[in-house]
Amino acid sequence: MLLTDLILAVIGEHGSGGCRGRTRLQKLVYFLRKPMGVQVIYQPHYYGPYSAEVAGAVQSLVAEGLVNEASGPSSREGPFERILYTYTLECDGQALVAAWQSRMPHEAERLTNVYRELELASQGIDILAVASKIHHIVSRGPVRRDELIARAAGLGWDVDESEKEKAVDFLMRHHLVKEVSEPSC
Amino acid sequence: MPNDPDMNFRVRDPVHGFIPFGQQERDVIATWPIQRLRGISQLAFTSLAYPGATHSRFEHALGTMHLAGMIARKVKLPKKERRRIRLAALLHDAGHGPFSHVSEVPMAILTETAGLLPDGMTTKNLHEQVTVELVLRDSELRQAIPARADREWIAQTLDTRNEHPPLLIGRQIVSGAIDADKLDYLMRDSLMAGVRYGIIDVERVVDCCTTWPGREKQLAITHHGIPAVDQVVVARYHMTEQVYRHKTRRITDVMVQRAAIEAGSCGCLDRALKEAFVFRARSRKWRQAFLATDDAWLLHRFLGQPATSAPRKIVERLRARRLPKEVFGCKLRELGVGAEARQRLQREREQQKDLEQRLADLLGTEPHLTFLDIRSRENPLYRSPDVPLEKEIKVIRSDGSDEKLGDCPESLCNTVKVESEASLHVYAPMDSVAPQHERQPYEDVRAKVLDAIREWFGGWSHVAD
Repeated sequence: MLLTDLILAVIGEHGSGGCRGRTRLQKLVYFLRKPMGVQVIYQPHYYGPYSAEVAGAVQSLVAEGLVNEASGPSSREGPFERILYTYTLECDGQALVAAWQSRMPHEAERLTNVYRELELASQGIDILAVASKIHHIVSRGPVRRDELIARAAGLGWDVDESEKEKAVDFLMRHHLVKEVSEPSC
Repeated sequence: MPNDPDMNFRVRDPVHGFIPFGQQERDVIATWPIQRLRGISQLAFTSLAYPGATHSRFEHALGTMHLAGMIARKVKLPKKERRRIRLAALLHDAGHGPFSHVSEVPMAILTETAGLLPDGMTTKNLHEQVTVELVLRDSELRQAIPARADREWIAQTLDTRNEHPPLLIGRQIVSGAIDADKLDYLMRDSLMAGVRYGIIDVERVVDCCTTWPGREKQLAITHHGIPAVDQVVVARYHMTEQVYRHKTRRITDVMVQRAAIEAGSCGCLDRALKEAFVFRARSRKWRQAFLATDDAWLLHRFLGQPATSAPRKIVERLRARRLPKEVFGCKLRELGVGAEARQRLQREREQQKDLEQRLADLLGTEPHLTFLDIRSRENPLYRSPDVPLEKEIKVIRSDGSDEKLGDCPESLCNTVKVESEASLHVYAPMDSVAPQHERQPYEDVRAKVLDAIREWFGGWSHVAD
């Protein structure tokens, strides 16, 4: 599956309301890339793992008339999303997603299932954002649970205790990380 | 770094004046992987449009090392890391094949055809993977950089597939939104091409480099640097439009790529070329074959083919600057065909060949001299080639607050909006159609080509609108 196909499919999963927020789209692709076998690089960025490739691909899809990008003021407080971007599929984009779904029915079903699980478990953007930070840290190598906040701070990311716990639960529920007990001396 | 006691050597450079360097850097410069870059032109056949642009990757490597060291010093990195960053910058282009980025396309295609394309490797990052391979395994580089930890640090910094660089700011300095690579090539390419679009206030850019707080430092600029960084963004835009995407450059790139692909597909790919262009990780034989290549070597291979072979005919035309002309060009969307059909044409080389054959029949030209060129995702305001620059640059205000460059009200990045959209171009050798003074107006040819393309798409009734 190509990155552009994944982005179109993810936006398509949101239906007519569209995918609300660039950060949300970034984080959904972050978690869907492995199950869908898409090679895309995320690097630690100012506010979490970020993929410039995803940002660029979204802009190209907008420019090519496959995705509509609408912007408006965000009701959210804090450093994120002062302008809220909403992405919906244009007719050409819908046609491409439909063609992909009929060509790759099993992949399409897998994407829908993983997307729904993420949607159900995340109940909004925050858990995805924090979970992607924790996941990025753990993917570097084993980390003790009580070291996670300090590691995040080391990358300049603010994560508090309750966010961390929710994010770890989320990641473990989806088998994205696993916890092993340390052998005692 | 005139006061650095470790910098015992210096070399004069047309862009930066004296570039100082130390003993270890001297050892690395003396290795074949770096010396070889003297034979790799920085801008491929751009010199057919801008005759002065004949500079090589070698001087760009030196300039990038110099600027990377300046930025690393400005953000107060420790000496050990400054040294590693300078080495990484010096080596960052060691993996370029003949004619720089031009050979990445045939290399990727030939490697993929051989079933050897590693996970995550694309034409965009192929030269990085080759660089990593050389840094880790080339015997001369291993001698010049004896500490394994240094070599691994450099390789991980240059490997953008690696999501966990050892020092994030190190990667950002060598290969980031405002990096030493970009600052050097804009100035150097502009100077050598004889254009003035790439003139930037590099001292100001470096002086305004700072770090975004966090224990793992990230590169940012102070708000004083906004005009200078805006200038870099605008320079990149104009250099891309006027030099890197010059129509002559586009057709020459397509011709070299086609010559290599044709050599591969017609079975006349000679052994040395095949050994060099099919990437094999951890293979000493492949490294030796690759390191033997440069621009002159590649042309020699093509010119050694039989006189009737497609690669030789293409390259003979290149040498004599008898270039095909653009006979048609439009946005893909303007063709009025369905999105899936457009995407298939963009992605599938077989479809492109089929359309080329159809157009060659129409124009009465040889198929291997009739070129379809599909450009996509090439917003010149993006970083290489699909990353919006202004979204990646963090500006630190004097009160400690921060925002992205693209959100700063005083930044020009807010006003420059360029859409990137896929387009289709057709080149054909018009001299075989008619002598120049008798040539029909291009509009006639354009209309015929457009009709033929639409008719060709019409054969896909199941996907066309």
